[in-house]
Amino acid sequence: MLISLYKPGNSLVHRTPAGWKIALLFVFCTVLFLIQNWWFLGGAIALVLASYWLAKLPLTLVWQAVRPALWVLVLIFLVQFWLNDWQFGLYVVLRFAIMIVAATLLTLTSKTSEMIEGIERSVSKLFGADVAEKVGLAFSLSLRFIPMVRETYQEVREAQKARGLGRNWRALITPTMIRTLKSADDIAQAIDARSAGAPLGEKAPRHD
Amino acid sequence: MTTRDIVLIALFAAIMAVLGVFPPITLPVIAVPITAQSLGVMLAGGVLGAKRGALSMVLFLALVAVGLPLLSGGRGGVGVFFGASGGFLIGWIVAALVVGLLVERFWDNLNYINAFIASVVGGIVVLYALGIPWISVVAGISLGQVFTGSMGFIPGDLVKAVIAALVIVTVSKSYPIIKK
Repeated sequence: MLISLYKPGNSLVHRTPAGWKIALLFVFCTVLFLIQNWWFLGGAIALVLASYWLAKLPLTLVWQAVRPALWVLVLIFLVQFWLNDWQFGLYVVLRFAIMIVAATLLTLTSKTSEMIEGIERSVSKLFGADVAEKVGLAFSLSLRFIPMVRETYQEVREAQKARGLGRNWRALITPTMIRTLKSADDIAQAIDARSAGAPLGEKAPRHD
Repeated sequence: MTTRDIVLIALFAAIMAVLGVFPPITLPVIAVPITAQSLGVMLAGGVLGAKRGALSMVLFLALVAVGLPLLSGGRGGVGVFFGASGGFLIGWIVAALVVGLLVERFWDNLNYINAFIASVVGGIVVLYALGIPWISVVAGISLGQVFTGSMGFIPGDLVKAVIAALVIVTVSKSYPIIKK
């Protein structure tokens, strides 16, 4: 389940730092909304497709990026067609699709680990090193917790199925939550016990 | 912020990821799928409280943004924030905050009724107030029309608010996190 959407590569697009790509994406989308012009939109589409080509990514990935949103796009087109005209509908839909495709390019060409490091660096600059340390801890803990919660959930589901409650959301969620909250408290105490004196903010209240 | 707070925030981000594996229901009215994940938003605020609940949503969305396919249906990456449900995703942070604030306020005599009210106000009213304008802007459709289109989701969301209220009250009795 935890397979990142990153596609490895060594192109210019891959090597551009993730922070730059995020900034470029932000500028790109803002400008797309500010300038409403067919020529401009055509240029933007060409630019994004050229970037996929430059990143040596097959154009099927463009289709894969758009596909989950496909019938939203169709719906938007129909509403626009009904309210305005088909040209404006097509314009809105293409602009929407190209933003999704551009944003997906960022995900396809940036390593998850590098993006997490980038977030930690930005947090460190904005709020200081000890906040960044907490953010880093939160990221690594959550990645470790996903399989733990899933395992607990599967055990609970087996047990509830035997009671005929296998499809009851309440009966599935409550025990999963209480059991994982209990483990979370044990883990918090274990971390505090091992990092006594480490600069990780205030310590949890002692239970002695 | 204690180590325990950080651990709880990380745990709830993981719970959100696991709720994403519950199969989503899509209604043929508008394109935002009904998922157990929006139930998780109500639970985050109601179980962890306002601050930790909202931060767990920030962490979960950050995991999605860096490219992990954790949203229901295996969606992830920055692209989803530009899709139709982008406003709802950002709205999760505020929704968890509001549910948390209300549950903290009702804490001393928390029951199914006021936990339900907290879930409805934060997880439905506030969430839609942020999600609807977003769709309106990206799709170029008027607010009123998006609002009408979204009404099909209200029954499903009310069911989720009932389940959230049941879970929030049970957890508050057997393993209270907010005031311990």
